[in-house]
Amino acid sequence: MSSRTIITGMGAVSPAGWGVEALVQAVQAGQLLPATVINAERKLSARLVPRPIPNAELIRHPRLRRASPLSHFAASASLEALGTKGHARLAGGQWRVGLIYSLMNGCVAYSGKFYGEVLENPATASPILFPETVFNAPASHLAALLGLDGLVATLVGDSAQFLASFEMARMWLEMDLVDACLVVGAEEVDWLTAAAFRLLARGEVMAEGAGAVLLEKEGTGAEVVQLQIRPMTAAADRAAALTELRHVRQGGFCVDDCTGHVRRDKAWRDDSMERIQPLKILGEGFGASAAWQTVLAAARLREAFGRAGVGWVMASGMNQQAVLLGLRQNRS
Amino acid sequence: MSSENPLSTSRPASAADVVVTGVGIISSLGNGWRANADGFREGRVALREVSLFDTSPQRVHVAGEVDMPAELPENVLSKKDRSRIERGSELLMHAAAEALKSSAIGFGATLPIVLGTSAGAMAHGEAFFRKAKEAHSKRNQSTLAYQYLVSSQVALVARAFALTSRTTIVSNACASGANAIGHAAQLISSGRAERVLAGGYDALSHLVFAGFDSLKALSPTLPRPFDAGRDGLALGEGAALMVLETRAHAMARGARILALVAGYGLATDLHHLTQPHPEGHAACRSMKMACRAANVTPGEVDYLNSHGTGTPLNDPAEAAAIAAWAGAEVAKIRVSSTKGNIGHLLGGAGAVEAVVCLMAMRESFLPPTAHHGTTDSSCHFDLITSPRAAAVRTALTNSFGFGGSNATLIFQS
Repeated sequence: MSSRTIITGMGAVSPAGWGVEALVQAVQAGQLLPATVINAERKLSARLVPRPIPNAELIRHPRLRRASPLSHFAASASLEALGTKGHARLAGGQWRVGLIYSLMNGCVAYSGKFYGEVLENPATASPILFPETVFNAPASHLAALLGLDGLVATLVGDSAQFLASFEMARMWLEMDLVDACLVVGAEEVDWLTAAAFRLLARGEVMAEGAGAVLLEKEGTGAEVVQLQIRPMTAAADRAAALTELRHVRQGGFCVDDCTGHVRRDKAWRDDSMERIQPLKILGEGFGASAAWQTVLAAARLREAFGRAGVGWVMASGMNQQAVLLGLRQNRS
Repeated sequence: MSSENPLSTSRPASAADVVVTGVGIISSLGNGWRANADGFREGRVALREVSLFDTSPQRVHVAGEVDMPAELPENVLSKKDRSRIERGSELLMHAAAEALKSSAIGFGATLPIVLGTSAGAMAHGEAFFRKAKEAHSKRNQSTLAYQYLVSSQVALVARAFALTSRTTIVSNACASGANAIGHAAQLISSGRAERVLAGGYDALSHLVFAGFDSLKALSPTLPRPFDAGRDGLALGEGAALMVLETRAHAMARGARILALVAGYGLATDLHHLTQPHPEGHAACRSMKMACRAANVTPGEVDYLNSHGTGTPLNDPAEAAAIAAWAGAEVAKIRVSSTKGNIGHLLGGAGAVEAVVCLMAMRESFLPPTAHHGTTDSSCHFDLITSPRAAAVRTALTNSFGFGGSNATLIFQS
């Protein structure tokens, strides 16, 4: 049984735009993306995904018409990751694709709206809105869009969850429960989340979007050569976990989760490896952040035709885990 | 590092039997195995007027609310942590304490945790929203925001028992608890962990209660699963956790083996966000997958704890799935739902009902379905409606959730 895991497809939606190319170009340009005021009264701003959605077909799907932006971002990123070839294979009906959907906040916009209605008058609270507040609603919509009726899981965690979700995907592949697995990380901006984020991470800017990778046992792409997960049960453990993981890396380059916040980034102070720091450009995308990092690492490896060594992706969440993913470009 | 070193985690070459060596449970029937086993055996109903929030503007006022024990179980939380604990974490701590104790695992163990929840720390989210919306007050808001994160709840439980734990939080709506146990079993059988603390929990919350009421899914009378006159479910709250480990590991440390986790199946129903396909196709696939993994036939299942919510749409879909799965043997399949007794525990349901299966196996009884009058015409199985003694060697439990999440677990003695 093959234990290889290869990223054979990837997609992204970010404040830089819709698609991997927009993400790569924005990070290469290195210019801070503009933040938009999302609530003037509360003086809240965030980096938003540009609207409208370029693929208008997407929101005409019955499941996505009422869904929150989170679902649209994830759907777009997943379709890009699958590509035309993937669509054809899915349409063939014999390809067993699993779905692991990682997020941290979920559909807060709808939750806030629904709870507001409940406080006003529960008798008139919208029955259409409530199901959209459930953590796994976006995964359900995506599964319906793609016709994935097998293994689907929503994993809620901190901002390193996307990387940690690779373990479940690898296990499903190794156990031959699926032929391929889409791993998706997504998040949406809402005033409520932005208000909470400001309290927890003063000075940082929140962002929204999604990233998706298609994992298979065979194929051309960035192959997983390292996956290490360090538990944290308190924010105080973060620096130690990061330092420990940093020392595992050897050669290549690293896509880290530094946001430009001095206190948060201090564990990286003396790091000498070449580093790419997308969150300084994009903002903190919670469930989407590590997905963007992974997509960027895989894109860099692809462009370098194997000459870049190992692409390391590191993410440390608030109070759950720090994760190191090592990727190396293969040719077959 | 080279590509020959694909993962740093050690991994034995062969799959292993996964056994249950510890169980903890808290529901509206009480705290602990004894109170719950006695309650389920007798078919006791533990539903009452909700006291946690104002239900006066709602259609329904009843749920399976837990009488929370006055004291937390023994723990090493700081005073600050204890002052911030919310209801879901408290339920988790009681179930975890019992599970760890019954498995003879002390404080300070290295033990991965896999938990399922649907609402997490919703009460903290509600409090944050109310303050942010109404008063623009920042007092205590950062604490509420931090504690609202599901990862904070799980981290708190790890700290409570000084566990060094990698944590995974599954949120597949009402199948979450079953998925968590199934995933934990896969982590062990694939060699990624030797033992795992796994289960599910959910506390009653205003938002979720109002949500189910808005869908007219709550029964304005009594929850009557599989009854022809059923008119909805009752919500409940609680938690159940299990210590799972390899048989070899359990035997080496002399742990008491309660059951074998024999099979796990999951499938996704694409029919609708909240409604099952009327024929229960995905539920049937989930049961078949679990049976294949357990290498058992439907006829070998001695007891089936159904999802059985008591809603007009769920029960006939599950009945159709059971009929399709069991085929000619359907009349012999002994089925009950325990949701009429304690309510629907959402993310906790799958785990609590898995423990009900273990109780049936360990104490040789079939828990009856509460409030039963006339069996719905869709049911072709043997619906247990009164307390019954029976030897149960193999038990199956179904959990279905919003979003089309379907999960099945099979346990064997």
